[in-house]
Amino acid sequence: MGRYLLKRLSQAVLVVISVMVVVFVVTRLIGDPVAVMLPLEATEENRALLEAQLGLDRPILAQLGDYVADAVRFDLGDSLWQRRPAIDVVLERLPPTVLLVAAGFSFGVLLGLVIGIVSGMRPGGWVDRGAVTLGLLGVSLPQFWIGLVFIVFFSVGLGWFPTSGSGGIEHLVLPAVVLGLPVVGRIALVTRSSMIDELNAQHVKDATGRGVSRSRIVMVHALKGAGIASITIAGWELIGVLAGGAVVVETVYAWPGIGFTAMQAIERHDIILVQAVVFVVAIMVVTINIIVDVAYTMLDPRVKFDRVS
Amino acid sequence: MIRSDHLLEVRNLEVVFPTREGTVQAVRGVSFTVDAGESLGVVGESGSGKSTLARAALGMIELPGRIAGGEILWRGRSLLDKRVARRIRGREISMVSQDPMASMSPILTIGTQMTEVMTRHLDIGRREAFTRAGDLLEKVGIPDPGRRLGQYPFEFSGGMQQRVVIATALSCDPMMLIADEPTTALDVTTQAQILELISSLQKDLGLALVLITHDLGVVAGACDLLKVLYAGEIVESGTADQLFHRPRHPYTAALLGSTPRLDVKADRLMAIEGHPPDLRHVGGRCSFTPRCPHATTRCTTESPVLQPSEAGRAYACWNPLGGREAPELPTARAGHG
Ligand SMILES: Nc1ncnc2c1ncn2[C@@H]1O[C@H](COP(=O)(O)OP(=O)(O)OP(=O)(O)O)[C@@H](O)[C@H]1O
Ligand code: SF4
Ligand SMILES: [Mg+2]
Repeated sequence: MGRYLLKRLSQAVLVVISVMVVVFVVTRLIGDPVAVMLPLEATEENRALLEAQLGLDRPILAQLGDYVADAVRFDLGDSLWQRRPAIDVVLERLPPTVLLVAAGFSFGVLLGLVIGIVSGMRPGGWVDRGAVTLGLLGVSLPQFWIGLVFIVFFSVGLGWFPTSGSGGIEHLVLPAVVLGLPVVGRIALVTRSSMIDELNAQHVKDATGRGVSRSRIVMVHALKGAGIASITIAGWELIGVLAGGAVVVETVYAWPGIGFTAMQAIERHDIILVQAVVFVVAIMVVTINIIVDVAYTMLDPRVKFDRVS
Repeated sequence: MIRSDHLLEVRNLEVVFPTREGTVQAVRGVSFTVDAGESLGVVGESGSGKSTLARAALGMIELPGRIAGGEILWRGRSLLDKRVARRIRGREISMVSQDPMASMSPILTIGTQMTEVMTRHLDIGRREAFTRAGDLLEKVGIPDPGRRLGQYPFEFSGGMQQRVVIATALSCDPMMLIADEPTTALDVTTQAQILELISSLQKDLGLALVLITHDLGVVAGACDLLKVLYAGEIVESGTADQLFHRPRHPYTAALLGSTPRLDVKADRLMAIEGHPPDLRHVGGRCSFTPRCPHATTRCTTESPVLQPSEAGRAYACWNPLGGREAPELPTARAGHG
């Protein structure tokens, strides 16, 4: 287990570094930060001065080397927009995102599991058909569209929730639900089909014959098997919510997290801040990945650490 | 409560499976009884309805399957009543099935799966159930039960895992055990050991046993009474001795001819020629007709009913065999086990 973790951790560091390199190169290629930062009437001298200040006049490989070396020490440079360490800006905006992602993801997984279990118990029944339709809708409707529809309906129309911003729990409800909807759909569909497989398995029939109760068969035998299948999906969902959904939903609801910050940074061509957001998200993604793999290995006795690695 | 003097009494049972292509009549008018401590062998080819019969006797026919007629009485109570069946399964009647590796959940420990049945049916806690599970494992011949209880099914060999399944089935002191091909998935040596284990447990515990198999060699030594099932019907019944030495039904005789001997490794089995009938279109004639060397016109127009004959045996055939000794059947086989 120790060796396995060590191996996974070093892989994770490599992944984060590769992501940073790609982002670094892409941002240098598509944008000219100096041109954006300076007023229109700036002279060529002003420009050279700023480039030198930012270190942009040096060869790109040297810049990259410094960048990675600094990043490893969590120094990602100063935000061009806020004129202070970019990592501070990101860490400041992280708690709202964690709160939103945790709320949306838990909502998605819990509701998805419940729907999946109930519909998997009686495939073809009306609960099942409703659930499958709902699941497909959740998976296929674009989030920004659902977000806007919810604002129009629940905030503007019914006045139940504020349209945007943060504050109390009432601010959290709509963005969390919108963030979690695709998760509900996919977790429900996966749980449903693995519940159906599990409940049709020979060992479930034989457990009935041995006198195990139906509730225990569903909640322990079948659910544990289905849970193992769902946990990998759940890991990917969490990554999707964090790295994708959060940006869209935070922007629609002006939720002051790192996704919204990333959008603001992009608008302001603040490549340093964008890189910092990507850096933090990448670290979170690889961490989630490791946690999912370890959880999977611990849940399923047939998988051993040595076989995974 | 219906009056029945037997432990298990099955009366005119009909089980059907409606499918898109027609209704499969898997069990057709089967009647039999099992008394306390008695061992009954049910023999038939694949598809003859053995498992369906076993599941019916546990009140476990699931949709789309349906009990279309008849009664199943357990000590006078109807197992067609789901609530009765739920209380009795595992507690009074228990079951062992064909593939031990598939019989238990691969992701729960043996200990968990043994004790979950006990804590439900017996008035004992988890700790006591674990102690009892250890004792049971020891009784079925599994060394080091303490460690074994923490292991998963895939850590056992097929034979050992079948012992675990048997121990679990017996954990609530049932009165009857239904074993549906308990040795089919095992290698020959292990088969004999498991059979011996079932037989000795049956005698020690005074269990009633229903042993289901496609292999006459398996039931020979283990069962007092045999029922031969063909296309969902009982075609012959009697003691093991009667059926082995003087089969009256041509199908029983054919089965004997195709039975491998546990003690001799046969190069080839003499399979029964032809196929069992399509269970969606049966009735109105003897279902063995197309494969029967003794068929006459009557066999194709009239369905023979199970007729009691001498000494408690019965058969359903218009042209029963004359009761010659079947010369190619050595006595050693009947005495196996
Ligand atoms: N769920 C089902 N749906 C449709 N037909 C079924 C179903 N279960 C069983 N049958 C049919 O019922 C008949 C009897 O099946 P059963 O499993 O009882 O046979 P068996 O004697 O146990 O055979 P085997 O030796 O292969 O286990 C077969 O023709 C089978 O196709
Ligand atoms: S009734 Fe006729 S076809 Fe059927 S087993 Fe007897 S002889 Fe054969
Ligand atoms: Mg079967």
